[in-house]
Amino acid sequence: MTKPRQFWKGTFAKYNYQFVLLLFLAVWFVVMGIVNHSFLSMNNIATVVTRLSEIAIIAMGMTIVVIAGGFDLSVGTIMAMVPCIVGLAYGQGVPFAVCLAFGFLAAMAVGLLNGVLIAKAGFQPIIGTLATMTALRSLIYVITKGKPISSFPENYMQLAHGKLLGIPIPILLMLAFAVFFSWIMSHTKFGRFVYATGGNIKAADIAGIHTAGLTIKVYVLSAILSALAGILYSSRLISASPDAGANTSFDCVTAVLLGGTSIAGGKGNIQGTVLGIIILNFIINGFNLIGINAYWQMIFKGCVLLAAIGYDSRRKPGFKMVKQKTA
Amino acid sequence: MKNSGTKNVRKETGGLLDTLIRIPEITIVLFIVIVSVFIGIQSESFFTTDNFVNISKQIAVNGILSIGMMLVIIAKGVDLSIGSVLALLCAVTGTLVEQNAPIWVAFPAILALGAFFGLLNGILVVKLKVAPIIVTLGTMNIYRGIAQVYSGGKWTSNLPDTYIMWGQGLMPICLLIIVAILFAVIMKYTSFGRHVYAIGSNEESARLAGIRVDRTKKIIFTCSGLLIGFATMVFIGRTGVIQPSAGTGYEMDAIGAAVLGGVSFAGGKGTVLGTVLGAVLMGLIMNGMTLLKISANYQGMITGLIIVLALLLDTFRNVYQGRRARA
Repeated sequence: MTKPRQFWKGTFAKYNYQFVLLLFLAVWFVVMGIVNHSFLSMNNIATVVTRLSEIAIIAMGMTIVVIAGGFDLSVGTIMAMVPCIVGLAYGQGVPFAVCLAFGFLAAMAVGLLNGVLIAKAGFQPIIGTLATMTALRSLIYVITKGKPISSFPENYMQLAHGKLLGIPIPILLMLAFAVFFSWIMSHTKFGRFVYATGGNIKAADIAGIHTAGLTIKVYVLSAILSALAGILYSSRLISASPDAGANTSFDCVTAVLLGGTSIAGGKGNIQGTVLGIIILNFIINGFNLIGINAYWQMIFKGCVLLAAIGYDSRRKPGFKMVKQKTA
Repeated sequence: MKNSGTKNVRKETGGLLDTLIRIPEITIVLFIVIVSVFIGIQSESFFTTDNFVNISKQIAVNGILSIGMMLVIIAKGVDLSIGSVLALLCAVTGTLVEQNAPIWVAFPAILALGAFFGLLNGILVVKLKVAPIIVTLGTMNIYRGIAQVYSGGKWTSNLPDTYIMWGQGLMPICLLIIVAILFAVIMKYTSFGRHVYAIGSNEESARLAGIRVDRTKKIIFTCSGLLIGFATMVFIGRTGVIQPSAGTGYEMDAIGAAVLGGVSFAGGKGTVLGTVLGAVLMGLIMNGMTLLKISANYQGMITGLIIVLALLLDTFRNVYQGRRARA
């Protein structure tokens, strides 16, 4: 009977937090627009959004992993690894499509390894992916001998620098992925299974969800998205650096948690993450324009992460509300 | 209380595999012997006094750090911030050297500061009610950022002899032995030690049994910080320069040593002896790689591989013991 009211209440509770984030972004735009005139220039905004679309694509994969109750620290390393493999193979005269296939297959293998270690061997997600991350990074140094790689085809840069209907391709890709994965998470069986697994893995198991397989799929998906981001990133710079993406995992986690996804799993959405990425990147861009150095930004991001998890743990009493509703 | 007799009964059963599984220390000693013999055959300079002093210095830093890590892991957490705290303490030591602070001021000051940063981690873990691994992932970046901002990235060399002596000759290994014995006694014979194991095995039961879980957790992180202080002094003495970029990846080495030593991420299990032996094994492998002229690029790969194998061994151990307990 009170359905409409409950609907609004529910919607508000769900989007309230993201509304606050949007409000914050608006305030930040106004403040920065006054402090620094180049901040609001179309050029600056387009540059920031184009760059953040790479990391946003990774963060979407990370969101799904975190919702499934996991964690993936290896994304930044996969992002560095794939373009190195593609570039090295292309340098050897392998056709480019085959190089790309190599790159993506390697990424999927890493994702599979992560998933198997976590789902089958029972590793803690952070430790398992930390180990693969350390091993992979050193593997990248071994195969590239520590030197950046720039053997890419002539029109490779078109991917990141090209425009479709006046919009840079990375932004279009990000938007397409955002819509696609929001739909996946809210309207498909896969999405609901991910929420169920993250919410309570035992219950999900008993309910007949093949949680181990699902976990593996989620890590493979995250690896594929990281590989794609790596391709975009190397196409932007027309070079693949072996030390790329050193802070990417951390930035992604910060954005995912800032966007309202719960580190405990089972809660969160893609829109929040995209919003988190946008806010974080515009804040960093503002800092760069004012001239705050990278290490202050590192401290700042750490504080944002702690604040986000602090908020998340305070929010947990919200479960009671849901229980009352069902009672 | 009389039930403690069952432990002795079980000791009578089982063959070789059972003993190996039950006492992880034996497995590590075996590995240490195998690795030593292997490197000794390949390289003549391995079994020399100089080399052993050299190895002992390397082991000391990681050994001291991994004892702190062991405490945290036994209580079912992980401290990812140790490398960053080490860097920050190095930066502070740099200031102390510049101010011509005598060592009897500097040493306790660094220990106290290390303990303080540890306590800060502990307070955050307790207050935010989130897994320590996430909290320390945040503080890892914060401490690293502060270290760089505070020091301005500058190196300090020409340290006074009183600072250098802590990392020269047999001093490091003596410090490690003292710390190890101290903590072995603490873990075995004090109520604090038993509380750490109790919290790791089952936090809720520990709470119900009247253990002040939050306070114990704070002490655990404080101890870890204190040990980082010790390790910092040895590290500075060993390298002879102060660099604020020090300590990257040290958390991996410490985790590796602890896990090799039979400390389980499932919590509630692990010994100081095992951890120190784990650190010895890691030190030997790293030394062997240098002697066999394997590129430093491979180092991360080896560390990652060791951790994965050690964790697989741990999983196997748990499964095996679970099966035996049921049988």
